[in-house]
Amino acid sequence: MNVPFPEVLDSTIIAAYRSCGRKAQLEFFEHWRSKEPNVHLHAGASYARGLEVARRAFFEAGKPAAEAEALGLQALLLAYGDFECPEDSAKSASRTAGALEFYFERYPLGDEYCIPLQMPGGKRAIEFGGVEALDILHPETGNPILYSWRMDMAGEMVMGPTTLRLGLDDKTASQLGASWSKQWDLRSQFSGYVWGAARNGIKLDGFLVRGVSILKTKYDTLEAITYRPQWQIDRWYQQVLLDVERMIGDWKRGYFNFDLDHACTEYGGCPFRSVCLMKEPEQLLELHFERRQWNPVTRTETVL
Amino acid sequence: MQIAALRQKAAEGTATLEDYQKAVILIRGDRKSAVASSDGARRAKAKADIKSADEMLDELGDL
Repeated sequence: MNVPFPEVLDSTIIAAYRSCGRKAQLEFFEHWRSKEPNVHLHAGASYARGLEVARRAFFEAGKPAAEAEALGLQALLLAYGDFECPEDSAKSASRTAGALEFYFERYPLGDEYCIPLQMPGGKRAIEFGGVEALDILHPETGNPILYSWRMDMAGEMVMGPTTLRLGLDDKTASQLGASWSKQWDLRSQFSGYVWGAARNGIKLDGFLVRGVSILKTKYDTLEAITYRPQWQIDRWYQQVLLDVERMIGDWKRGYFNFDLDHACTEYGGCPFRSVCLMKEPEQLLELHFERRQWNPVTRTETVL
Repeated sequence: MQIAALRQKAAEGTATLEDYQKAVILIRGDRKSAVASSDGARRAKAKADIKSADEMLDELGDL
């Protein structure tokens, strides 16, 4: 196999591999990314940046809520930049900014009931993450393969007589409802975060997931709490090791399995669907994709 | 300040904290107005006159 095996994995890579090995190979081993910008990812990243800056301004710098929200809006718009939103998308800069304002009206900083944990140096557990060594060795370097994790926030929430320690994850969605709330209970992303936090001495009971839907004419919000008992974390970890072992096997033989089923059409369709429809896709890859490598530790993308 | 204009100022590095604070207030006001006018439009959409209880009792009396 002439492409390197990644030294760092994360929940996105594991999820992609579980969904379709070929997708994981194209995106995370060969680093092909569509030249077409993705409005959902761009708006989502801008929104997350706005939330981060507002929270840090309020909880770390002690700014008044109104000032913190304004700083969050600034960060959101700077992150959105001059990206041109497709006409049929609700996630314009204006609507994304509106989502941030809506969020802070529904979850005012001054009334936040999931208070971010205090960390050393006057910091709070906002954009709280780390890199952990897995119990599986890299097939080239012989070092432990690393797992990168990063949650929006970790905090404490008082529920009656109980104080829960919960991670917090903010999500943008097109539709909220009962099915939205139910999808988190086995979600690997959160199990990985709870595992990572525990490795750093912070025991989380589970996750608070906050969804905001951004539609063309309105916003909505829903919250869900999903718990993670230790046996679920242990099972998650064992499954990750098995999946990484299979991933190494696929990499060594130079062939990753194609799903050729639901993965091709879920979530608006796989970006590589057109590639898999071609008997010889090399020209199509060169024409419609470019090679950009995402570094989950530095959270930056490098054009190769 | 409209978001488009604020984006322009942000890109130029000339937007002030006050600009952003005013924008948050404007966005909030616009959103609440949109919700209020949407609610009003829904209320105005009754397909038939809704009679009062007295009117309906009077009709019963005519039977």
